[in-house]
Amino acid sequence: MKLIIKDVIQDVIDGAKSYEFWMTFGMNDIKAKYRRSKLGQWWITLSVALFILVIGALYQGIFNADSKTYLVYVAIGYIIWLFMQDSIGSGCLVIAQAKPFLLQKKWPISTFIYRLVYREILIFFHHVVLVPPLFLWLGLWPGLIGIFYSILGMLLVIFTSFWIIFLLAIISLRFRDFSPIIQSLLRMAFFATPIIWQERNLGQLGEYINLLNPFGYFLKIVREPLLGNSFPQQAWLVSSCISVGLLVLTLCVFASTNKRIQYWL
Amino acid sequence: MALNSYPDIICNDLQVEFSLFDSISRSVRARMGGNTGAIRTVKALDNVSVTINRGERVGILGNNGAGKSTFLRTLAGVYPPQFGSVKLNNKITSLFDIAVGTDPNASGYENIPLLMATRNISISKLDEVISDVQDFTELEEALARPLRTYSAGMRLRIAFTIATFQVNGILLMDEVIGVGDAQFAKKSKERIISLMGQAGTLILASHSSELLETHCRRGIVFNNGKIVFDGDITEANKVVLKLKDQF
Repeated sequence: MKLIIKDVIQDVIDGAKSYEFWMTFGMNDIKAKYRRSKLGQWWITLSVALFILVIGALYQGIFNADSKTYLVYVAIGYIIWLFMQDSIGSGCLVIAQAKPFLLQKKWPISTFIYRLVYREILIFFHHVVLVPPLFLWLGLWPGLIGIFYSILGMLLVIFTSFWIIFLLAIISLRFRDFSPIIQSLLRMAFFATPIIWQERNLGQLGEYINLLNPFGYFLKIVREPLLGNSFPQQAWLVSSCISVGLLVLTLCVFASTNKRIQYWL
Repeated sequence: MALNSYPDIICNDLQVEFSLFDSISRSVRARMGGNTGAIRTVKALDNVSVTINRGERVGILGNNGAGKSTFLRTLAGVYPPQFGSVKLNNKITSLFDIAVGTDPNASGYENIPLLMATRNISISKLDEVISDVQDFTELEEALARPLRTYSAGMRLRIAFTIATFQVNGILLMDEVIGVGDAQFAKKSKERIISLMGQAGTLILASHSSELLETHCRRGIVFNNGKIVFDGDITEANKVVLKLKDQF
């Protein structure tokens, strides 16, 4: 078992080393989507800007929220949500889609996980450029420490997404029904996660949902510091535990399937 | 002879077996119902033991489904053998599906880094590869056009040039020689031959007896995943003909 775990860690290291592959293809994935449009990849930014403004304007009345902070709340929450949703949603198919590559030579499987994470980070950057102007426009300032804590939180979100993508990609390669299950769960998760609603809107129910919904903790560690709230200790504790748990689980699943993945393609 | 007796590849009792998963065994529901998974298996390689020495030119023969491609892919490290072992004492370059990595909507030029990254050629060699592609493919201004506007032959020209840019050690080929129209086919053959000179060892799977006799001296015939003949290439071609008659 010790030897197999070593192989698996080696795979993750070798995958990182083939950065020329995943950076080239991660970038091309984005270019490919918008190649023949005039605005190109800035559609990514524009469509999210539209969502934030429309939802922000529509729902603040319903939820009786303070207009300034509500808009920022929705913007940050939605951008982080998109990162998590796209990573997990696309992650299920990432090894299956790498089949043509995997049939040519021996690859570190993790190469294709890096490719997806890198692509999602690039998309995230296209979204995050909206945040500073929004703060300026509304005359808000989260403070340097807030920004620092928030970046730290985002790094944990990215780190965790690597392991969850890896895990789901292996499972859904073997069980092809897994991907549709995840897709429909994700759709529900959007409504069960405090992105457009705030905890207090749902009262007691909101508290229960927040307690059980893992996405909520990851949202909090990035969003709370930017909203001027204190360092979210409890959310950090829970999300770190989830992250480490996923890491261990993924390494174990990968170790026990490592030699069979190629046969499942 | 001293060089020739150094083994580049040692396969010992190699077995590769594919499980046939269908929608039932692949679903979570079936697993929860106690189904153990794979229903049937297909043996693609069965008890394959073979040693190939450095500098050898080996042809792999056999009818469709005999195990030729699986054998090459196992050597390339695509399939980890379930039983037995493969020992390689040299680097390996594989030319199977050379167009993998291309993006039809990107231009010829934009496809160059994609193909390089796919074949592990460092991006620092980009300029070198671009000028090689310009010289060798003779596609000129077409290189600035999206790949989807190319003919199949034109697409293969780019893929072929980059796939053959860097070859070292053992060269594995699965029917790649001679791509494109007659004139380019001649050029690509010449390039392959010069590559074979660079390659320490050549392993070529093909259905063309002429091609195999030109490039190889040793022939290994596969049938139903087993090696049924290993020897002189001319003899090997005869064995395959006999196998075909039996069909």
